[in-house]
Amino acid sequence: MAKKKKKTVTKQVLKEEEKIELLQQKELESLQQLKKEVEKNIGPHPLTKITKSDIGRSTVGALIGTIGHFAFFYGAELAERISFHRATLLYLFSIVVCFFFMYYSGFRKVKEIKVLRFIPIRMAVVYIISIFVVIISLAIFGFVDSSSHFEYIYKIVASTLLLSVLGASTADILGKEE
Amino acid sequence: MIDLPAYLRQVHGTYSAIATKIEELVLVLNESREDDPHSKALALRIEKFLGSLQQSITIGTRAARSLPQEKRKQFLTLVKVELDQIKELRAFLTLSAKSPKPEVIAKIHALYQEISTEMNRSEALLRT
Repeated sequence: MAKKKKKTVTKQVLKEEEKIELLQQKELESLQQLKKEVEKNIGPHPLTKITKSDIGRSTVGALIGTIGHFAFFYGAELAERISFHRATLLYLFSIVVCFFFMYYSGFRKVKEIKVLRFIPIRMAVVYIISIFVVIISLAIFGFVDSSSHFEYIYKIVASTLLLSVLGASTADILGKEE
Repeated sequence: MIDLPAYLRQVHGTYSAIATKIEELVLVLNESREDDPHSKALALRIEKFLGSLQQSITIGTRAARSLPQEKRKQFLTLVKVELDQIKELRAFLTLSAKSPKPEVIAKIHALYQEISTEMNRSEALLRT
């Protein structure tokens, strides 16, 4: 009698085990589904995307940084005195300044929170726009044209880029308030 | 019995996907106006996803019965902490949809990182 009862209990336990395992298998599948759903269904928030207005803002900021106080004129003067290596250093320095500027000024309500993931793409956009704006400004004022030597263009852009980057990143940060 | 380490990896993977969205929410809450409808919707959807994840963790950790007693005790303690933190995070996400105050944003930011740390700890425990 006791043996039979034990057998029934074991059977019941096994049945329960099977049920739990099935439930867990189902849950594992639903976990995979959930992951897919999270990745697919929630698109990026408008604030994390680079929009046309971001590009416009950065362009205006870069333009003010480059043309304001005729900075490009002094940049052209400087370009004649600096070496190619120093110009390269100026490009790197501009990236570093852009990063720290956006990193330390970009977060509003809780200053301690820095979400690094979103900075590189914004920084790249600001940096590339700044380079373009400097080249176009220099071309408009006749400092560079199609016949200009690459090294000269490289140096002249490097010496003006820092101000352009500062203008563009300031505009990018200020614009987010709206 | 399901493979517990594999199950935990799946849980962690899913949480990482949710955490990416939490990061985005933290950034958005930190930048946007209080009445931004996008951040409200995002907060509520993340809260829902976390609810499903919480349920999955609860069901999956039944497989811990196969672990040695001492390890099981440690593991379940870690899972309990994890579940409590998820619960707390869900509450703060709901709150952020109503009033995204700086303290709420800071708490969400801290909690989502703590949960990730706890998950790493429970995964590491099973590896030993």
